[in-house]
Amino acid sequence: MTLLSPDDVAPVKRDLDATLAALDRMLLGRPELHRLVLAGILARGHILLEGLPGLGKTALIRALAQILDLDFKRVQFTPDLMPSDILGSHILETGPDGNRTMAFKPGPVFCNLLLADEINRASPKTQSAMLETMQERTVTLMGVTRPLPKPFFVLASQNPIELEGTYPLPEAQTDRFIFKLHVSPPDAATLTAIITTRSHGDMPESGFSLGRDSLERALDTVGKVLLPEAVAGWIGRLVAATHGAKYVTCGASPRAAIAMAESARALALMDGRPSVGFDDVRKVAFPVLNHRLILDYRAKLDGVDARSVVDGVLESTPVAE
Amino acid sequence: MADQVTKPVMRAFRADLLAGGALRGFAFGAAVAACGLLAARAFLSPLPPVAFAVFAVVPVCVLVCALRSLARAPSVAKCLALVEDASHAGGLILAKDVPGAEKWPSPVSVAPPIPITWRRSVPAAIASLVSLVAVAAAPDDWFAAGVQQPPAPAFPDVTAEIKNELAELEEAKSLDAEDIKALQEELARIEKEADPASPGETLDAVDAVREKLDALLDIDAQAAKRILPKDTSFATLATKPDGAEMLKKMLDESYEGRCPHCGAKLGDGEDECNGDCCAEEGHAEEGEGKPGSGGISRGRDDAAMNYGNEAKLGASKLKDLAEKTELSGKPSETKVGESISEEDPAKHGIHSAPGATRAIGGRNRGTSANQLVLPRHRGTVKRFFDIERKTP
Repeated sequence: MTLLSPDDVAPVKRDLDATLAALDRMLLGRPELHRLVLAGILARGHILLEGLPGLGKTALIRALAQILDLDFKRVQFTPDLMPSDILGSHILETGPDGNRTMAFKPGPVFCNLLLADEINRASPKTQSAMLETMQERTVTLMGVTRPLPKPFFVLASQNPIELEGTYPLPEAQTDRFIFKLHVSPPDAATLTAIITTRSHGDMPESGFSLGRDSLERALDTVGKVLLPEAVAGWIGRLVAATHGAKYVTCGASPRAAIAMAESARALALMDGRPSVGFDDVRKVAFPVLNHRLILDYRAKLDGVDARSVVDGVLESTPVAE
Repeated sequence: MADQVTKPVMRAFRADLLAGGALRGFAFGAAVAACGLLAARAFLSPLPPVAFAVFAVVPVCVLVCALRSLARAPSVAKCLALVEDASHAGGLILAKDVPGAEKWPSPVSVAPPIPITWRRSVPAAIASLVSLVAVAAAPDDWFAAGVQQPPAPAFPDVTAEIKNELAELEEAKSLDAEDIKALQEELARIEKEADPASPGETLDAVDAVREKLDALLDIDAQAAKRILPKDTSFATLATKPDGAEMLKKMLDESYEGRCPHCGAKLGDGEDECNGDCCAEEGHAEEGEGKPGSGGISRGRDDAAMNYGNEAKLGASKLKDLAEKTELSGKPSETKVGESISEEDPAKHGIHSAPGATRAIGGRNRGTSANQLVLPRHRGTVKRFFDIERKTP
């Protein structure tokens, strides 16, 4: 494998820096969150955003869609939402020749960027309809499998409170999200900047569009970033260590290791590097692992959360064996 | 390129492992040497020079453990990963040998912190060294093999007691000097002929001497009783300063014309009595007081067959006595024990309620006795009767 040359990396980095700058300009006070969201996108992953209402989860996704210049659809998940409302359905149509045929009416999932707002309010049946679309990026209806447009990302949001009438996402589905990012409330300075610079809280125009071609080139370049053997081995040991970690009932899946490697590559590229370092893995370890670890009752009793467990795993696993 | 980055790291790792292994080897070797030296000093005296060869274990252990520790030295890849992690080079150090890496600027490599493990072995090494020095420097008398024990006697001095007694008798002039001398010579002969392999004969001979001495003392005591005036006792004689001389003089006078064994009067020209009296008192010539030959000693002779009932012996002074038992009185008055019974209710002011009788079943069916029924669990009874009966 040949290392990416600086000439290959530099334009991509320039585009990604501009994207991040536009995001930071549109949404104030969360550069790290924007960085991780972009890394998740570059890793071709789906992202779950969790936070209290009004923290700008939906705004972030809308801004990202605007900057990336992708086909964007929004679905508000409710308990009575049916799979066909997302995936699409067949309807009876009369052709010009008078013959009636079942025609497929694609649902909102046929887009590049799907905003699944409050995804945990939909019923398990509807949530399960998303499994195939998120993993295989296809939709199978009436025995016909249809591919989704490329690229395809699901950016879902959920509210950690008001859990009455919600259906927590099954582990199989949370595992399909590359990151689960916690949207924290902005600090006072950010709030002051928001109310002084934004009229009615409206986001300013992005002023920059990455474009589909640039995004495709960035996605291709991410795949060429070198993942050294030592770093790959450390990722493997980290994920394996979650299975025997204290307070953990079920550790992370192999999908977590893949997600960690891909998102670390994306972070390396965003830094303008042709190879992944251990620090990249450290940065993505918590967003990748936090929703994949199932903690036991002792963790609740001792007040231990996923961050503590992940930090412990990172500390206890040496980079070199 | 990788060698340049990893060489200092590997050198530091090896130095630490070498030091740690050498210290562990020293600790182990010193402990083994201390144990070996301790065992040698405990069981061997004087300590042979070859025992100090245990010190050679120490350098051997140091060498072996150090070499074994070196085998655990980290690989080049591990050193490279540690340098990469310490340098935060974003994987560029790890990708140094990948084609195309020359187009990227060389990252500054930072030496990773090398864990210092050899210090952990220092306490063990010091402890082993101290134990080795202590074992080597301990004085000889701390060990059983070094202590000079007095030579054990080849045969127990069984004649010591009699010799002491004879010496006392000689000093007090309680026995004839010739008799004492004869007994002492006999004892000397016994000691000379004593064979540790067969102590039985020696012990029998000593017993015979003891019996002879006892017989002589017994004769003297009888003679003393005989010659003492009626109003004089041994106690009175003992209070006088020349009591012993007086007693001896009286004894010598009394033996004139009497048997030396039993003190019986002899006829003219007789040196000893006819033996009847001596035979009665067990001084017969046949036995001569030797064990196993009858006489006054029970020795090895058969014991009388009385089957454990000494009262059947003719010469016994024992009398048959009827055993007195507790049950010998009237049965009604015999106390055979105490039973734990219920407390006297009257003592606690508890009186039986009218009609609180208990019928006796079984054989005595139909009869009744005025026995107080006491609740065993007052709380239970109280709770039972205190319940409010909620009848609909």
